[in-house]
Amino acid sequence: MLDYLRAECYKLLRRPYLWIALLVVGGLELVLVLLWAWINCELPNNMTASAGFTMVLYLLSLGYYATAITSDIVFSDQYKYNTLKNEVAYGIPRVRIYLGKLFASCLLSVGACVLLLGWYALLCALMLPGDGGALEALKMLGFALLCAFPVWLGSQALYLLCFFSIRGNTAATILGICIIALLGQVLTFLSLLLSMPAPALADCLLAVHRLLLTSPLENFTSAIWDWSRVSWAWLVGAGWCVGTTALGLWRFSRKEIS
Amino acid sequence: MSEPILVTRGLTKKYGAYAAAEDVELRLEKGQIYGLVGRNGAGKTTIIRMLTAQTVPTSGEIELFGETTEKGLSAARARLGAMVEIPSFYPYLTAAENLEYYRRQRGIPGRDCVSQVLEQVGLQGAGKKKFKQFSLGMKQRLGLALALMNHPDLLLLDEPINGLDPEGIVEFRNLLLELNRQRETTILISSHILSELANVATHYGFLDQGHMLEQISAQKLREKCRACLQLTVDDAARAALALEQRLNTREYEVLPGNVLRLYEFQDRPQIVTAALMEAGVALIGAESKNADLEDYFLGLIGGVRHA
Repeated sequence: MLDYLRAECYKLLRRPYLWIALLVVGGLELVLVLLWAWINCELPNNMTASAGFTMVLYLLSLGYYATAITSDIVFSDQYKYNTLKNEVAYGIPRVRIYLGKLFASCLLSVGACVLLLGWYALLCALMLPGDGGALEALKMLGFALLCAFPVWLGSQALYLLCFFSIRGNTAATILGICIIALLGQVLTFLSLLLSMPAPALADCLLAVHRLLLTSPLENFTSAIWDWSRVSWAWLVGAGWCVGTTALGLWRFSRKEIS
Repeated sequence: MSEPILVTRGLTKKYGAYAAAEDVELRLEKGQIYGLVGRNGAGKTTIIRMLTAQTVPTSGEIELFGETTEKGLSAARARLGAMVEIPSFYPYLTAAENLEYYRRQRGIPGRDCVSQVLEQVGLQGAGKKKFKQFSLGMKQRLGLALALMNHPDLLLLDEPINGLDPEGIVEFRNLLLELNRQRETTILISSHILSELANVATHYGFLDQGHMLEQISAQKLREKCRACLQLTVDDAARAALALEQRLNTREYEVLPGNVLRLYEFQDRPQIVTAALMEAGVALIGAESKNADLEDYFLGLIGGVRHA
């Protein structure tokens, strides 16, 4: 597995897509902080460094979509380029291929997250004025990441299942996004619709809603320091991660590689 | 009988009711160059894809280097070199980077093997060129480089000379023969270009509609294909007797439909005609035959079809 991971890292570091994605997101962060710094010139202390750190709490859902990009980078259009045959033909077990790509995409996600959050924090610290609340804001950010990490991991595993199961990358990404973003809306709508004629069923749907990947991060700012939210997030994230990986492994073990 | 490298027993792949390969019994022994012959859709690629784990067989067994379990086969496949259909690589990586990626993935020791194998297939100048800029011939060479990188004991090659220029085909043939002689690499090669197969193969397997029709050594095939006079007569038994008594030869064989193949007197057909006439045998037709691999294959599948 270590050899496999080393090889994946070798490949993805040579993929222009990775560097372009990092440059674009890093550039957007720079533009955002520059904008705040420019506003601060007109309205002093309008945006402080600690407020900048806290802003991340409102952007946690972006992680669901970022994992689509990292999965895409690691999966590397395997079906389009037919490169999986070069792996299975030489006796690399399919389980290792699947898990190797999952670990590599998790590794990439964590690395990219550290890099981009570090860059953002540096920009905030350098360009925005301090107000003494930076440490507290960073602690909150740490708590938020502790809660977000498992559900991001779950979404990573879900996207990889989609990439391995569907031949087109775009279709796989759309399916993943639909499951993450729309499933919750659909369940909420259905439970509202059924609340009068079938309240038991509506309750059941709401219970299912709580198991969705997006649920632990809903209304997150009101749940800071609520440790039950963290355990819920880890349970949901781990459940999705294990479930989708098991399904993906089963499907991939029977898949025809052309 | 020498050491079997690859044996298949009842290997079958079905897609619904359609059998792409059915009950295929294959046996390759160490040092053989085995030519898999069959027209389009005969099942050649399906068999190679099952051997390389790209396709899961519907039933049957594969024995590779003595291993039959899934775990054992995975380990045994590390000793394979394979080139199945058009070689596929990452277009944004160079030839050397693509090989380096697979070298790391498969844990092949020694970084030098990448440059060595690129040189071996004649791509030493193209190592820094991105794969997306490669011609089909270059892609074939890179595919072969990947197959050779781990110094395989068994090479599985599916239509490997597609896209190669004439010089490339000669180089490729020499490389295969060299690998076979120097390293005793066993090779299974499928090709439409039967004349090219005839230059290298020591054994043949003839496939049609997913079935293995015959496995034969090149030596036996040569014997079967040797020059002959093919005679069509009214009574094959009497004709055979006449050949033995009047021409004193047993170098013939009787085929169905009152056809005889005489492996002597090809240059003196008038003597044969006279002998048969004297014996009262009516000669319906006579033609000089010099069968090659293609004729033999067409004879097996029963018709003039595109191989």
